[in-house]
Amino acid sequence: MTALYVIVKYFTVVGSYVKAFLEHVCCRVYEVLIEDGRYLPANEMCGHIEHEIIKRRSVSFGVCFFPFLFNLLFGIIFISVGAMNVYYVGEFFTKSGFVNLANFLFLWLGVSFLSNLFPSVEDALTLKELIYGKDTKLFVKIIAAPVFAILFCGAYLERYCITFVTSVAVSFAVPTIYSYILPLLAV
Amino acid sequence: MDENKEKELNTAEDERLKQELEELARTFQEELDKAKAEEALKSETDAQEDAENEGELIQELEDLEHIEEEEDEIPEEELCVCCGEKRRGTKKNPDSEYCYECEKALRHYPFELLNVIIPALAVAFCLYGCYIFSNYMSIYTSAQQAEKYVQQNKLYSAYSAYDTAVNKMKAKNVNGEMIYKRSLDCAYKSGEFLNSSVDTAVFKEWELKLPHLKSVYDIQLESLEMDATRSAIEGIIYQYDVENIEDLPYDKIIKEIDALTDEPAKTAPLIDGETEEEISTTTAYNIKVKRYNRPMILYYQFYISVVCEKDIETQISILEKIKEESPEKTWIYAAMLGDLYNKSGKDTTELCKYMRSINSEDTSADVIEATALRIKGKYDESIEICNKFIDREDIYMYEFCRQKAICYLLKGDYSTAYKAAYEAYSQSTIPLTANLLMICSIATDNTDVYDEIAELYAESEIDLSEEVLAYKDGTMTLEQIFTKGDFDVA
Repeated sequence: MTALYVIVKYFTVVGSYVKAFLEHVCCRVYEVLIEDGRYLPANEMCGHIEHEIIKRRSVSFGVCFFPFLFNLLFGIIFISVGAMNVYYVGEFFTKSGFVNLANFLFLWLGVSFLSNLFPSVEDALTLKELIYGKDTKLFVKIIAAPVFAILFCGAYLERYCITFVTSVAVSFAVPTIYSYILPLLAV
Repeated sequence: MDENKEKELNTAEDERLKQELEELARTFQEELDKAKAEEALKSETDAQEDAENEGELIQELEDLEHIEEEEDEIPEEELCVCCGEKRRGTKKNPDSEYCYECEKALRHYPFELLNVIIPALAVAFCLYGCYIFSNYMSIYTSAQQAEKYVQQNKLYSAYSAYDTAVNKMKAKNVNGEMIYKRSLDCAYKSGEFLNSSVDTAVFKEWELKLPHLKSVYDIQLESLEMDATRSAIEGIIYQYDVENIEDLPYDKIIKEIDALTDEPAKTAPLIDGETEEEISTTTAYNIKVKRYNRPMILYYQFYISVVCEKDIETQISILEKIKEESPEKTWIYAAMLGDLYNKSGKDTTELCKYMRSINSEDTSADVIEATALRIKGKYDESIEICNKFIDREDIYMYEFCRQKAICYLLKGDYSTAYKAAYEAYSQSTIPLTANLLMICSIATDNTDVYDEIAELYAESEIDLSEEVLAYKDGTMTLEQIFTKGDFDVA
């Protein structure tokens, strides 16, 4: 499984790299001790930063959530342009007859970023422990539930490379999604 | 005495000198002792200070030695896992695996140049993506509007919206094959594909064999099949060089045309003035036509049957064959079949319903419906439908005006009928509108218009309609013309 995980991470190298970079930035901002600063080691930490066990709830949430948020934004932009231009408009070639690499690159980047949204399983478990521990107030538990659920489930999906499949599926669904959104934008 | 005196004096002087010397020696001794004592005191103080300093240094040295001894003695499991030299643990976190310096550094783990370059490139590319997306937005919206129309079966609006999208793509130098494909699909479904502005040369020949562009290949092939069929049938008709159309051997021609169904297709002969190069440029691909197009064969059979003035039932049977074999191609048969159904008094409800299910904007279904209502004597309902489409300035506006005029004629409102007939004639100067306007002119005693049209007929060497002449002579009434026979003025 780790081999497949690493292959997918290397195939979606830009998304993995930027995700790790964003984790690195968050760790620096929150002064979290980084134990292994390599972004793409060929193991289950590929695309993640190995850091100390975080003991503060807000820090753990920040380290898990902000890289997710930024990769999601990047992914949405890339996949929108790529999927719309490739699947919907069908701009496979330029007017001069060459393959339109930019559109395929956008599509790949979109899949790449959306495949690398979630924290590592260890981080997700830490977050779970901190949010759903005995000391947390019920209010916080309820408020954090939706985001936590996404991050926690996503971490496991990513561990088994399912996010790659879902991001490819999302790319196919983009034209349909935009068929609902664009008329609203046009108004 | 003097000598004694002198001796005494000398002795006293010696005594005094001796005392002075003794006193001087004592003072010197005292000063010397004093100086010695001070010197001794000073030396003692310095020595004490030196001794103190020396003690400190020794103490420090002893301490250092102690520390070194201590470090040398740190067990491996207590060493910092990062530097491996110092003892792990910090004040804040005694259980830390790192020493103070290493922990501080790891909490501010440095970025390498590559770490920053790749995300920076991603951000730059992301901004470029936003620019591309906003630039293409008008293409997306036009195409999606068209798609929405297709879902609503509004094929003419869809065709128009696709045309807008195609023009926007051309303006932006975008080669959007899937939009071209969808535009062509829409044009095919609405029957406009032969007039489509889509430049099929945008597709590469090898691409047409791929599944996503199969429909483009099929449309291209069918278009070429239709061309080949048209050429083959025209070849058959032209071989019968007859003066009067009635002299055409109908059965023989129909048989020959029907035989094309099983024949392998021949390449369409060149039209006068057309070169091989022009043909290859138009078709753009090397698609080989293997058979003739069956709906087109049937269409030409119907055409021949109309030319040869065969009865309505024969004409209907041919069109029904097209309906049976290619029901989705309503643009070939439906309008004519509906008209024939009306003329033969058949129910058109199902046909109209089906036509609208294929293309809700196909107003020929509404023409059929308005005509059917008029024939059934429901003039007001018929006029209501006609007015709706006249207000919209529909492409069949002339026919709606005509039906409205007939309704008003049958209701006895001749002046309104004349206005509607005049509107129909101004929209389209075909015999149907001209004949109706002549009848309305007779009904309203407006002989000028009648004479004007009759003159045009004479100039064109076309005979006036027998029904018009009969109505003028008074041998036929409006009811006889419009409520019997084919329910219209031929």
